[in-house]
Amino acid sequence: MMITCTQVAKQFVVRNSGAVLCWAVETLTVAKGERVLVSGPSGCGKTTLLNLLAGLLRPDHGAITIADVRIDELDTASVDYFRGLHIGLIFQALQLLSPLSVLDNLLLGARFGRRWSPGEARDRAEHLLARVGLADRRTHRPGELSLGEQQRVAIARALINEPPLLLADEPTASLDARNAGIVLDLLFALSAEHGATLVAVSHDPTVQARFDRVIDATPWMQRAPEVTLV
Amino acid sequence: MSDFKLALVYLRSRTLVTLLTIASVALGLALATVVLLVARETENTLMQESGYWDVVVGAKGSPLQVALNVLYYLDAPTGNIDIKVWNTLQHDDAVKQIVPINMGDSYYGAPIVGTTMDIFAPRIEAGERILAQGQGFSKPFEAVVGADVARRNQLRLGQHFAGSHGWTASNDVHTESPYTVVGILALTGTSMDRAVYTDYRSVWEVHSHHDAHDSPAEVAASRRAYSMVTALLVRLTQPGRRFRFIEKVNAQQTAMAVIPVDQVSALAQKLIVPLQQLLISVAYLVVFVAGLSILISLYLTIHQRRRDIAILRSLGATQGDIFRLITLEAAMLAGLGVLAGWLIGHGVVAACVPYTLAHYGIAPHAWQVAPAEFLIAGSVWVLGILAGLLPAAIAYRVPVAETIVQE
Repeated sequence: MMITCTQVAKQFVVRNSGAVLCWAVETLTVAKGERVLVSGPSGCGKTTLLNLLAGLLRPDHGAITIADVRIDELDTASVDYFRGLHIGLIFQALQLLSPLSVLDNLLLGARFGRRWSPGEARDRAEHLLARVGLADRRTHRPGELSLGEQQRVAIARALINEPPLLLADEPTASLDARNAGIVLDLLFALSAEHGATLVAVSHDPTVQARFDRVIDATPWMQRAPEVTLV
Repeated sequence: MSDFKLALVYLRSRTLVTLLTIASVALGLALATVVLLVARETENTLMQESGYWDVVVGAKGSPLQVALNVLYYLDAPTGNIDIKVWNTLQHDDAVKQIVPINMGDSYYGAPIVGTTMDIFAPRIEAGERILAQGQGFSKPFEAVVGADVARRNQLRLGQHFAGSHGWTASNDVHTESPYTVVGILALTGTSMDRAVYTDYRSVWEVHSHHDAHDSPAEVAASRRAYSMVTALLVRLTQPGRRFRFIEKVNAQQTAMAVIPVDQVSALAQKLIVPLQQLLISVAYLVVFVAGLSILISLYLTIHQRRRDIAILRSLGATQGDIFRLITLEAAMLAGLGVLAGWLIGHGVVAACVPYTLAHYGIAPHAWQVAPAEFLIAGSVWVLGILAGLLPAAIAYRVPVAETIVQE
């Protein structure tokens, strides 16, 4: 799934100081099936890129095109539909729903992906749980799993609709080296199975070598007066 | 995963709050249901009983007291009327049927009503089943007993019992004049269930017996004194003749005629209706508070669930999906409360049947649904859903990216 960002800008007001920051990218292109890592220091706007690509944030300026769809021009409901069907999200803070079982967390992803029938969704969820090694934990609540296991559930949930675009925000940040390796292996293997484009954010330099390309996000966030995008 | 299951999971995840919210809705609806049922049953019973007879003739006094005493056995008689009144009215061409009522004794609190079997004629004509066992009385000291009297006192056919003087159980028991149970009445849920019916002459003879050792002259005087009846139940050839008939009776010095339906309606208007309105107002207030509890419960939970709502949105749930989910939770809370309230309301009434039967002669049809119940239950349910709209609107506006990053 081809991604193109052209002259995209988003302003933020810093709560405490009232200072205005501007996140801006002149041009960013990710090819279909490409695995890209966005790196940079904390606060440089790595997660902002993912939120903009996912349609969770709307840019103040510029164009974001994903698979020939200008998602910045879609209305809110259409963006939600688009995200549910085409984008798999993996968050830094895991973001599993604690009242639901592991299986139900996956089925919820399928519910809003609106792609599978209930039977197909269940088969797909069972298959993915087996792939991430958690078939026997399907009835457990997220709180009963280790962080590594929870991250594997989050990956499985992100992939349940076989999205052509996978966005992962610090997928290994809270894991030890062994679990980080397992999670990355799964992420690469499962996304490669159906040729998904992967855009991941990480400040961990040890994972960079595994990606096709590394984008430095350091210059993206600036104080507003310094931005000259038109 | 269906919306229903998701809503159910969230309701179960805060079990205590959910149960308390359901309980508050249930309490309001149960109160409203009980009030409705009691109102319906009271009105039905009173109006049905009062509608069997066009006119009641009794001793001069309070018209309402005459009606309550003769039809529902709820009050003491206003006195007795001379049997000549009965004899005269029997030959009145406006009278279709006239039945004497003789009262004064009781059996363990159940009034012994001296009358004729014609007292059951209107019920038989209305298709009601009168006798559950045995047969009607045909001579003095044969008795048919109401279903509740038979049950409470374990009376069976052929069994003998003695009445006591007055309206309540006393030591002045007429053991020398026992009654024989020849019939047991079917349960009707009316005052008939808690009365004993016997030949009207039984009452005279019981009280004449007191004077058995007196001189023949005194006995004769006593018999004359007891040649009176407490009241007369009258059916007219045409209901339209009631007012002329009443005027005629009231012109006499000793007797008074009343239209029972009018008396009972007036009683209902003065006492029962305002009480019902007050209770229904209280019920609506409780239901309103229950609606508020749904609002508060969901409002608080929305703030606790901002992260979950943001996650749902990130998975592709639209704002409409979120709004629908929260509204569905409100509908389920209100629906469960309505169901529980309906069951509790009807259950309470069912549990009170033995008490109301024993004390008021009314056996409410506890599980019969009144049409107004649908209106109230529907209103409560809709109110519950409306109470969920504000929290749903708040959930609708949860900013996804900010919430996920902050949490």
